[in-house]
Amino acid sequence: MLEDGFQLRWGSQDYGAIAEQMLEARYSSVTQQAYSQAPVDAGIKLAKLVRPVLERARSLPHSIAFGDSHSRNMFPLGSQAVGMDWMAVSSETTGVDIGVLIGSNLTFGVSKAAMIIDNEKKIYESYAEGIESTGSTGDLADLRIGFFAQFIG
Amino acid sequence: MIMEDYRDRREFIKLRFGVELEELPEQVAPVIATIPKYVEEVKRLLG
Repeated sequence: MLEDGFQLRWGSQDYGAIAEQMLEARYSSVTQQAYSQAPVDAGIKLAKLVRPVLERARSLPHSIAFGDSHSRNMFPLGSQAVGMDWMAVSSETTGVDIGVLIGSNLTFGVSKAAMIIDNEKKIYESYAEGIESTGSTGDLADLRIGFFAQFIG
Repeated sequence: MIMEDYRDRREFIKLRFGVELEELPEQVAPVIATIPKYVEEVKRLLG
């Protein structure tokens, strides 16, 4: 079984170079519009945090993960959810799946992105409650790092 | 970042993001506005 697929997905990216590009483009009109409500520095800081998050996540407890749990692979069936496309099942840091589910919506259009930003906390908390309801005694801070290992990538 | 570089991806951007190329930076601004809070949270988690 594949292990740490999220590390393969994001670990190969050069976030230092991405941060440099953002720095160079900080005064362009596109960047100025996109960052009109937040400082460009925030984006640069976030890019620089990806690698430390991945490194921390690698050492945290793992569990079997769906692996490709984006919202277009998940369908409601009554009060439950059905997932399709299980080819990416893997051993991941617990929390990665909810990072994929929430983060995927940032790439599915502006309206989906706005919806997910408004509801990120609620959806994440529902996931965390589900994990706890299984009897898990894991650290919720570790779970959140697992989430960020996908979400900020 | 030069918008002209993305002209040939206009159709893709419209399909993927649901807005015109020129509207995208302004439309994503509210999403980008949430970055600082996530930066602070990640820093706290990493200690």
